[in-house]
Amino acid sequence: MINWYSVDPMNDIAVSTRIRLARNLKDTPFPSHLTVKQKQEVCEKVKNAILNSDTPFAKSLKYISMSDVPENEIYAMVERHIISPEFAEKSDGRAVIISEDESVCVMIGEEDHIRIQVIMPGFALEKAYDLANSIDDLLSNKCGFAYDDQLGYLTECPTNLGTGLRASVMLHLPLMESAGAVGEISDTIGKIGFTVRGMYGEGSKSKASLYQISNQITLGITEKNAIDNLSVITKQIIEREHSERAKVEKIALEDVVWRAYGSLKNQRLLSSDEMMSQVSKLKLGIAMGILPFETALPMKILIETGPYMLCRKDPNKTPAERDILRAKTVRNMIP
Amino acid sequence: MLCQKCGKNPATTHIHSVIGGIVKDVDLCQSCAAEQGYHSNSVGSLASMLSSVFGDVSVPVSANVLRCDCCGTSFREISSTGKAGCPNCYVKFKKEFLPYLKRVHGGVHHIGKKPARDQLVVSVNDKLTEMRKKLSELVKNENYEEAAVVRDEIRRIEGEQKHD
Repeated sequence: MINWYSVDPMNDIAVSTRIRLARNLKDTPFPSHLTVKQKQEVCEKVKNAILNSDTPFAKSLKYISMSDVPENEIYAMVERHIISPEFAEKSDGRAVIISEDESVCVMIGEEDHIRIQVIMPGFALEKAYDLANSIDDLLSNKCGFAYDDQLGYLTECPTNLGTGLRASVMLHLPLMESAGAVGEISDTIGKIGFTVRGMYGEGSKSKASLYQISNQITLGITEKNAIDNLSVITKQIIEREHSERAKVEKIALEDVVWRAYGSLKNQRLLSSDEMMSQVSKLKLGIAMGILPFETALPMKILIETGPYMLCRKDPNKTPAERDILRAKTVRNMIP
Repeated sequence: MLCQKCGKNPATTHIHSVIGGIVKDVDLCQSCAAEQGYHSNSVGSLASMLSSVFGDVSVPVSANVLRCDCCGTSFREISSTGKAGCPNCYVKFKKEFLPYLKRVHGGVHHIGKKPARDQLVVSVNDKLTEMRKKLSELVKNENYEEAAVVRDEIRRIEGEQKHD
């Protein structure tokens, strides 16, 4: 089975789309107020609700208790964008229900009891929401969610109240970044309830010129409106990046791209930061028709040569050994 | 509107305080507000932004003493962490929450998806409506003994709401 990030995103700028729905069981304190045993009970309840439902979809899902997962594999899951960095911090009383291609992941015991996450390649807000929504229906019928007529779905953090929906699109914006336009966009869309974040969500920095654009307002807005508004904003940002790309001198761009290709194809030591910066140029080269590689390749390299993903077979590698292995892996991945 | 302290810059921070029953409203610019310890949190996470929103307004004393019946969290704890203890905190402290939610989200009425109809909801109002319907049916069927129990329960919940 191939992972979601290996599939062609069918878009030169939008890398992936993520939908997250926050849900909680009624009459049960939020996870930070529960003992490990109580958290395990929540895990069991959610597990039974999904896996015992007689749907073909449920049969394709797998339940994993996080305390059974080795620490390095937990961080490899963060690098594959299946779980949040916050979720990785503690494993006791936490579990995930995950689909085969890892595009669906229900996190149990994060900040909220349940975080339904759907991640899809490219720009696919509606499709991803529809899938998350159907998982929500499945769970809602069995679990009984905390809901208030006025405030909607009740969540630990009041910023998620209402729909509990966080929709985000990850965009590759190398030329807007070098033109200094990302900060300006961030200020503008911040005023209308949207936010620009780094690759791994809240608090993370941008790497490889990848930025997540997401909604912030969840109360007093329908899911459809939140998604439609995000879609309009995302399209405008994509257009802006396209117009920045159109301004660049062709030979200068080709030079940057081919240098990055030459470097990735020949390096013998490759740090994670350098890999990201070069892969960003590789991605731009593929998008601009300079390099004839598949569109999903840069994201595949970026994820599969992350520090933890790279050392899944041998977690005891030193940083220097890791850089040697990364250089070799990247050389083999690039045609 | 200009800052009420320096009179030069536009006022961006509104500080509403209730100390010893005396209400005071001040509008300050960003730097004067920062001088008084009210920092705008444009870079931080939403949760920290929220706790700063909570921090801007003095909370009524009653809300600091009252604790959620389900998880025991007080509104003071919620306002310092920016996080609720359990779903029922929102029912218990709804009145206290509303001004902050208005500032964070703009709206305070959910208009999105609702859970499937067959699911029980935590809303006290829903519960009350259901109980009143049950009460009138019990009275109609002359089942006065059970009706009295339901009536007392309704009064208890209504009393709790008023007390909040």
